This record gives sequence, C-alpha cells and structure tokens, in this order.
Amino acid sequence: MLDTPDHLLISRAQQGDADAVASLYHRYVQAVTRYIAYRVSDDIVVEDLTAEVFLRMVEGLPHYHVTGAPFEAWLYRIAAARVADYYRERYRYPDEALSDGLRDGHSSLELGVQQREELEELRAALSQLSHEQQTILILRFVERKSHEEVALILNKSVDAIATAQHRALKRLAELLGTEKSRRHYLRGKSR
Amino acid sequence: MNEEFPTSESQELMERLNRAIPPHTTALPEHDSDPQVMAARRLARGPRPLLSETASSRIEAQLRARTRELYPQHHTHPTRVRKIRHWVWRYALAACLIIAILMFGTVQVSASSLPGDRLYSVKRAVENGRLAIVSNAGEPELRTDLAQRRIDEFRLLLARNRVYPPVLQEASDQLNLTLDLLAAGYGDAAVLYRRVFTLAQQQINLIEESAILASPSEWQQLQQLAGRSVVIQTEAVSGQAVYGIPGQALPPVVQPTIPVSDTPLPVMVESPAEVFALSATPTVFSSATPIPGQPTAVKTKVKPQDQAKDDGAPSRTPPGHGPTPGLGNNPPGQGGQNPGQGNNNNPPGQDKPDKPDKPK
Repeated sequence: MLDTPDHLLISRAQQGDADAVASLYHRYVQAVTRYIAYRVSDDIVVEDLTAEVFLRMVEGLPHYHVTGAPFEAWLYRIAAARVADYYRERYRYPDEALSDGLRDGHSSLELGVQQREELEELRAALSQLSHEQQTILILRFVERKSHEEVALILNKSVDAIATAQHRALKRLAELLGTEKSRRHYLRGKSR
Repeated sequence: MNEEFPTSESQELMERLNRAIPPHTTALPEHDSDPQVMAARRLARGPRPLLSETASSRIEAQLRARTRELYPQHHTHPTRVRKIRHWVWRYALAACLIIAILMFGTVQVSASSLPGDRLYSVKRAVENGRLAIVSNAGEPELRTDLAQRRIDEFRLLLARNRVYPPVLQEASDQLNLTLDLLAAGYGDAAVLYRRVFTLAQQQINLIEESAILASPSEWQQLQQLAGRSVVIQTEAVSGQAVYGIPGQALPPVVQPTIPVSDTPLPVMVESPAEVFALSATPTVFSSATPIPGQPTAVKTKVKPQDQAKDDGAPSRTPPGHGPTPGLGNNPPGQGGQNPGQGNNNNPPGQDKPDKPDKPK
C-alpha cells in the first residue's frame, strides 16, 4: 500500500475499500494537520478540522475525477475551506468557550514547549495576512512546495503566486522583524 | 498590486527564495540578509507539528466507519483472505485464458484437417455447432459452405491418391438441403443457386478425375454421386429461372463424361427455359465410354427433338457445333452414328463403361 500510486488508491477507495481510504489518509494526514496547525491555535480544533477534511474526502471521493492536478491539491482546498468556515463561525459566535487544547487529557499535536511558543508566534503573524497569502507561505516554506506546485494547488499562475508571495513576505517581515518591538498582533489587535 | 510589486521584482525575489529555501528539502543552504528572505527562512525553520498517534487513530476509526456507511455493499475482508482471493482469481483467469487459447488454436488447426485425421472430429463438431445456431436465412449459405468444404476435402485426399466418396455424398446432401431451403424462400437465391450449380460441377469434375484411382465399389458410389450432381444442377437451373435475377440464367447442364447409375437420369438441356419445357423426370441418357485409364472430356448433349429422331440412341454433337464446340475429340471410327464422335462401340444405352485399370 505504501508504494501504491494515488490514482490506484483513489480508484479502490471509490469502490468502498476502507484500507485504501486509510492509506490515503495516512499519506496526507500530517501535511494537512501542519497546514491547519499553522492557521488555528487550538489543538482540539486542529484535530477536529483535520478529521473533517478527511471525512469530506471520503464523502467526495465518488465524485472525484483523477486529473493532472495532485490529489493533495484537493485536500488543501478542502482544508482551506474548513479553516475559513471555522473563523467565520468564530466571528459569528465569539463567546463560545475555547477548549484547553487537551482531549482525554492528551494533546492532539506532538510538539515541545519551545516549539509551541515559536509556532504560536509564527501563527499569530500569519493570521495578519489574507487566507490566500497564508496558504501560499505555508505551502511554499513550511511544506517546501515549489512555486509551480503552489500555483497548481491554488489554481493560479506562477506570476500571480510570485506577486502575492512578495506582498505576503513583505508584510510578514514587518510583523516578525522590523515591527518586532511593537508586536501588536500578539496582543490581539486587529490590523 | 502589480504597480506596488512589479513582476520583475517578484520574479527576482522568487529566484532568491529558491536559492535560499529550495523546495522539497529541509536544507537552507544560503543566507540572505533580505528581510523578506529572512522571514521566509524563519517559517522554513519553524516547528513541524505532528498529529499524535492517538488522535490519528481516532480519525482513522471515524473514516472507516464513514466508509462502511457510505459503501455498505463493500465487504471488507481480512487482508489474508483478500490476498488469497486475489490470487485465486488471477490463477482462474490465467487458466481460462490458456484454455481459451488452446481451444481457439485447436479449432483453427482442425479447420484444415481431413477425414482420418485426429482433429477431424473437432472440425465436424464445430460445424454441427454452427448449424445448430444458424438462422433459417443464413442456413442455405452455411450449407453451401459445408458442401464446399467436403468437396475441398475430397480434392485434397485425391491429391494424396485417396478416393473417399462419403465426403462427396455429404456434399451432395448439403446441396440438396440448400436447394430445399432456397425453394422454401430462405437465403439469397440469386447467389446461392449459381453457387450450388458450380459446386455440383466441381463434384462431377472431381469424380471424373478420381476414375483412375477408385476401386470398383468406390467407382459405383461415385457414379451414383455424379448422377445426383447432374440432378442438383438441373434443379439449380430450374430454381434460378424461377427465383434468380432475370437475365442471369445459369449455363446449361452438361452431362458428365462418365456413366452414372442408380440415379434418375438427367435430361440434357440447352437453356433453363428448356428445363420447364421438359418433364421433371429425365428421360434421355447418353454416355461416352471413357478410354480405359484415360477418362475423356467428351460432352454429350441431346435435344428433345433429337430424342424423337434417334429413339433413345446416344448421339453426339459434331465438333464445332453446339454450346461447347470442339469437344468431340474421339478419333474417327470409334463408334457412334456420326463419324468422329464414337462411343467406343458400346451398345446404345450402355451406361457403364469398361472400368479403366485403376492403380491400387
């Protein structure tokens, strides 16, 4: 199963093969989790959104057509939509209590304390960017995709990605470096 | 946007980023003091959170449950059972393929088999299978095909110095059945009457060729078959005149050079029209006695008016006369009433020639 190409796993999963579904899940779960973890701070929410992405994958597989685009592009699009939905709901119901990030007394993410602080700082800076800019930077620099792959996943031209990346990095540099002293974003102020 | 971040500047940044943070690797080879590149490097060096094993198992269980809900008809089997079933299917498929190839090959090889060969029974079984499934409309054509096969078999056996009358007997049976079907309105009459006529002629020719090799008993059978062939030709001419395409009449039936026996004697006719003018029962018979060891190719014809004149005595058309001029090739003085057209001094009406010497 480990070396089975995506299109074969997809074909079998489309026929209801639970093992093929599980293989696709294990192949992409960590990448999808990282993407969501860089955009959402609560571990429980990260796990729930990750589960939701793959449940949507199972439900959408019967209608999925294998094309030239990589399978993960579809998963990233589902993940981006789930994150956007999450923030939309949070904006609508801001008073809902946040969890303590633990489920059954365990964290959903494996991360050290220092790493968690660094992640929190990067996530806070990224959250000041648009959804698309966040996705571009996470895919390009956290997931180490090429610009062409990012363009394929976001269904845009490489030039458009380059321009959006330029703008996003300029802003991120301000947030992380030149404006380090102020760090208003860490105090929860909106732009 | 493009005014603030010209494409060239964005492209340049992209190239610097590709050098400083190459894709598909965790390495960060070049240091770049550009604040934008530094921000990107910080992201690239950032933590890589992993979903815990517990959380991953929880989600996987949800996915499997959802898959079972969505695809209730798909029975998940333990891996070993599925593997065994997979291999059983593969072997079964391979076995079926091999059997199919062997059967196809056997049928192909059997198509060229001859009576006495091991595969001849396979060939006949295939033919019987075709006859069992053919439609009424296609049956006449199939039966003429089978008759052609039998005639070909006889020809090939003859080339090996073997005379085997049963195959010609079956060819005649098939041709008779074809005529019955055509008369009942099945098949393409315009084509098949002509084909039946041609096949019957092929039979006559082969019988003439086999005269030297046939044993007395075989020769007797062949004479009967020659007579049947003439009758078949006569019926084909009649059928063509009734059901065939107007203006495409078959040639007249030509009497074989060998005598025929134990069959209704055929009438020699000039044209299909004369078939109807004459009685259905042949009344005139003529024969040319073959020279022992050398069957002749003499054609004999009798017109109805000549029949009255000659009172049943055999006659011949002089060379250069009639529809097949030049066939009176017996030397003068060899019998018959007309010089040069003898019947080798056989008495009138003799239908059995001196048997030529036949090599055994």
